[in-house]
Amino acid sequence: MKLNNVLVFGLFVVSAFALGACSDDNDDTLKPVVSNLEVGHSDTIHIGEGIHLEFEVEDDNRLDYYRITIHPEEDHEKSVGETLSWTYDSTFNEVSGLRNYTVHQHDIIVPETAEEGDYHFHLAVADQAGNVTEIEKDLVASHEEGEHEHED
Amino acid sequence: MNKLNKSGFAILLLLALFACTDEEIDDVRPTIDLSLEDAFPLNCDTIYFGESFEMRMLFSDNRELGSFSISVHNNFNHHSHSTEVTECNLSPVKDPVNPLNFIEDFSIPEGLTEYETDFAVNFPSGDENGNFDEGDYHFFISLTDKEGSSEQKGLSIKILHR
Repeated sequence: MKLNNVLVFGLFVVSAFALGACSDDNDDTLKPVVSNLEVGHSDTIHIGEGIHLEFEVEDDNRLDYYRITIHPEEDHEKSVGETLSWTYDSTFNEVSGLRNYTVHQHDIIVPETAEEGDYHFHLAVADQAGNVTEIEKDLVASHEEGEHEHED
Repeated sequence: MNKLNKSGFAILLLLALFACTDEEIDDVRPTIDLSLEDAFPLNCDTIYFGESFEMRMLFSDNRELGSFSISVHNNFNHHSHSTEVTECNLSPVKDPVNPLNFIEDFSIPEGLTEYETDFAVNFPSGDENGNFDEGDYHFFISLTDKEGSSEQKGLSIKILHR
């Protein structure tokens, strides 16, 4: 009887330990890690062109999506006349199910109607457990076209 | 009986260990190897619209390969590209009129740790808007293993008409 008790107790302890050890793996609280973020040409985005966007992301488990939001700085002094104050919000799924990825795209087009000036850029990357890493950047939207010849 | 007790513990411990090692994560990334003798395309290579070319590269992974994709987009404004190794002789900057945008996903046969691509790719000469713009493009390869680790490689190429 006594021996039986010891056995049952032992079994209980070991299985509790085993359960604890394993459930730790499923309890993902680590956020995705984002590095080498490049937005536009040295944080300048060109009106009428696609924004160069590049970053690396890695997660201890599986990634889910990333979301890009761009909006004018709130205390924007310029009035909104004929040009429109541009805002952008879109979610991308190419990282879904992956542990790591190097994002490289320029599909976000700054419309010709966008106002020149200061914008805020927000990047949010989520893993499948719902952990989100958020990064913010200040951008300047301009008609200056970097290497381009001036066009207008 | 005491002996039985001990072996019972031993078995349970082993079980517990196994239950957890199953969860072990393979986070080793697959690799894209462009050092094959006839690897193509390589950085700075030229491809012609409407003409098939053989894509030749070696993919490998420590456990099992998953799938890969190719995407091609214009680099007419010479944006930077950190997965690139060298810079090529770029054509003058220009605005895209009707650039080629090519994205295609490919599967890799089950159970492979190495896979040599050996198939033809053809970029069409144009679409309903006319001929595609020729010039500097990025050829972007993304390789994923079964566990979801991935590797990307970007190459600068020229796509021209002839």
